[in-house]
Amino acid sequence: MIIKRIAVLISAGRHPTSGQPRHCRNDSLALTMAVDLANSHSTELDVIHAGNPENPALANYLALGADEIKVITAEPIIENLAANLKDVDLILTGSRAENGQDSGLLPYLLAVKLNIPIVANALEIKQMDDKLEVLQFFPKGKRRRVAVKLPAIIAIHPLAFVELHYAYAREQQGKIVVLDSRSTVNNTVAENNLQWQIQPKMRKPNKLKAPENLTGHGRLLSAITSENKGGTVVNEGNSVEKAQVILSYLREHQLINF
Amino acid sequence: MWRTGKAAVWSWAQLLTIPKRYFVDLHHVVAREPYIAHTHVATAGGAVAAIFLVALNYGLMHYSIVLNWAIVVATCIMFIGAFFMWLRRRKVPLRLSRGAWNRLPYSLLVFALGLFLVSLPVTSLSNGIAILAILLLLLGSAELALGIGLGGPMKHAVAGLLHLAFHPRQERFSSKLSTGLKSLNLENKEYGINKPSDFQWNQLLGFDACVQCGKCETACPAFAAGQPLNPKKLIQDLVVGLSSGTDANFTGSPYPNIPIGKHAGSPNQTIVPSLIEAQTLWSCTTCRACVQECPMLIEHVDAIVGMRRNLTLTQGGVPGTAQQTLENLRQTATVGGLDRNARYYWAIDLDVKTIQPNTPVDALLVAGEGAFDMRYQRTLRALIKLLKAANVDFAVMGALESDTGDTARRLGDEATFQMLAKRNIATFNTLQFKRIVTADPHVLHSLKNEYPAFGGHYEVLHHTTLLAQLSANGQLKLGKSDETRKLTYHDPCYLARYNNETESPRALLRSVGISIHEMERSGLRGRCCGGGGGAPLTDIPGKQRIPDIRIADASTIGAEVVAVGCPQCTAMLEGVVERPEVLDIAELLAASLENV
Ligand code: SF4
Ligand code: SF4
Repeated sequence: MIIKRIAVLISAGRHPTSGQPRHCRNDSLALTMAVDLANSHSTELDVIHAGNPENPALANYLALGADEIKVITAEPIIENLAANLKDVDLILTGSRAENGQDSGLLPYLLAVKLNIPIVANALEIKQMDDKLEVLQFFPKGKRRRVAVKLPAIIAIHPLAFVELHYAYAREQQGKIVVLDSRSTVNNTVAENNLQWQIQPKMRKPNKLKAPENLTGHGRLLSAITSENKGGTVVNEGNSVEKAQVILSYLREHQLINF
Repeated sequence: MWRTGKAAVWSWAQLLTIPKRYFVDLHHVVAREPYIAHTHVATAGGAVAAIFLVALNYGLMHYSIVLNWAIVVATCIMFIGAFFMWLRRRKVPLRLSRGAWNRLPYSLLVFALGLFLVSLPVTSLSNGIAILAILLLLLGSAELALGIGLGGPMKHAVAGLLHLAFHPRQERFSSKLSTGLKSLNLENKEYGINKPSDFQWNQLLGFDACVQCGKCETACPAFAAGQPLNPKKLIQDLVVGLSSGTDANFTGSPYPNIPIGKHAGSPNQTIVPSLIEAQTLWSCTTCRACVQECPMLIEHVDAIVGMRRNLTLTQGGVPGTAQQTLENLRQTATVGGLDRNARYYWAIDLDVKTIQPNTPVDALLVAGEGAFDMRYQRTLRALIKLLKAANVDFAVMGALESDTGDTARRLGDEATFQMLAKRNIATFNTLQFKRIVTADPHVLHSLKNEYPAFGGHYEVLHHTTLLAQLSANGQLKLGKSDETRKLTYHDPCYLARYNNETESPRALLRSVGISIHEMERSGLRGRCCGGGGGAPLTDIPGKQRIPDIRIADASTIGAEVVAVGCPQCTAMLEGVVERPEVLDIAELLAASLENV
């Protein structure tokens, strides 16, 4: 199988503490994987961002290995992206929201729009005869190998086996070009009229947690299996009674003092 | 040959500086080992005198008998020198190279003997002896002449003298310190050293001056810890790279764990990894112990950082957690990726001023990254106590402080360093202060020695320097210390070798009645803690850790307390499991305030 065109979708992130614009790590992993794939198959590679071409975060991707970034400025994002990705064999991007309430939905919406399969949480991509074999991440150490035929979207998991290399010289050499400024699709055609909202990250709520009294073995078990979590399931009684159970649990473990 | 290198500023007049630099600056270093200093004076002095006299007597056709006797005397001196050199060569210390260097004393002896016989003013010299003498002379001269031309041991005589004249750090000869790294012009796409010909020609000349004495090797903490670095081999590899060869003829100690004979290079071939492995470069702590020891005044650190720069800037090749650190510096201006507003949280209850534009203060306290570390916060709190006791008008920098970029620069990330330096300078320009104090020698070094290149000129003092001044002029009244345990002081590389400050910390300790028991290697020749140059981040494996070696120095003399003056040293030395207590000078002094 020959992969003729690969596209990587990259987004603009911010540092959670300083708020400074920066690359999204997951997308950078996808970029690094895509560059490696493209180099080993001498394939054409498009690095695409939908948003503001002036965003300083984009320079990060140049330093991380993109020779050129194509920016789509027109709204709606999904439709315009889809229009530009029609004849691409393989689309790579980051898998999930970086933190908080980021949506992380784009790869899925795009897959629906293009009507192609999506494999999320990819750790590793291997080329087989007529398909790609993807190693997928699952919690608690589980992994799964799946095969996918192209064209497809593969979304990379944050723990993928990739090392990022940031080189200033590449940032200086790289280019950012605006692909088009006008929408190639009629705005009213947009089926899922998604309203993207951008807002500052909210402080993560603190989880109230009862101190655990487990043996070393118990801790190990609870880390690798899902049964050993302990606790009680309350499904009897009305809502006040149920709330009473929770309240007394919290009081018992001194997690609240009223 | 050296012309393959890059241009550097120089003038012919610099040749005139050779004699002074040779006799004063170079012999300063060599004289630390008197045996070799004397044999060198005898051998080289004898040889130069003899050759000069021969030229005078025969070249200018004087044929004077007096001069002839002088030649005899000179060759005798040379003979004696070469003889003692031979004596030492019978049992070669490990740091020395063997091979051609073992032959050298013989060649020199032969040369001296030949010239001696020829010059003997005996007319009835039998033909046999005369021929023998001429033969000996030819053999000896071959070493001198061919050696210089073809890169044998005697090459050092010419390259060494020229190196003294055209040394890339001319300031070193006017008893000024020159330790700051030279900046790259990033706009001109200067991205460090990729191939041997990227060095300036006078740097290449310097490498050729190396006499393979191995003093740098003995001093190098990374070599001692079994990490794959040996500064002597590194310089020789660069020599090999310039003259297109392999390292197979190298007869000294290899880089630990990297066999000899597998690497080769040429002037226009990329150095890493065919000539030198990346892990060799990332093992260096930039402690400058090698530079301090080198009798030929070679600048190893400039070479290492130069090659690191190319790896980092063009390939993003920093290993270990260094990659994350650089990213943190770019995105948050802190090493740890932390909130800059939180840097001075430890001072909230101490009632200290935070500097504001338009409110001048005498001293501005720049705490550095150590301020985020709970251990080092104890030191900083002690320092605040002392500054208050001395009634110093000071303020901390607060949320305005960005990292100085020191770590980024040592890791070769010149771009991030320059970004941070320019940012800090812009901030300093909005503030009014007379001087900067810091408890971190790395902050001290970059602000004081490296910011001037970007237009930031400040008076920057290490806290021990300021406290010593205040104590000397009576502004700070210290009591007697209760400390009765046996105490030693560990010199931070960036305070001692980089800033020549070894006396203030000691004077302060003495002034509170603490006597210092010196460890092996202290002062300007102190042994590194392993914390500099981003080495803890690149974390190249060896057979032991550098701080363990340093703590062993302290334990050997039975020290129960190690006094320090640097957050890096504190963290590195406290990382050793069994060790004496580690206390900053500020902590020891602050404790004495109660006894005033
Ligand atoms: S670099 Fe200097 S110290 Fe090291 S071996 Fe050469 S001359 Fe000796
Ligand atoms: S600076 Fe220090 S660690 Fe680096 S080569 Fe020289 S002695 Fe070794």
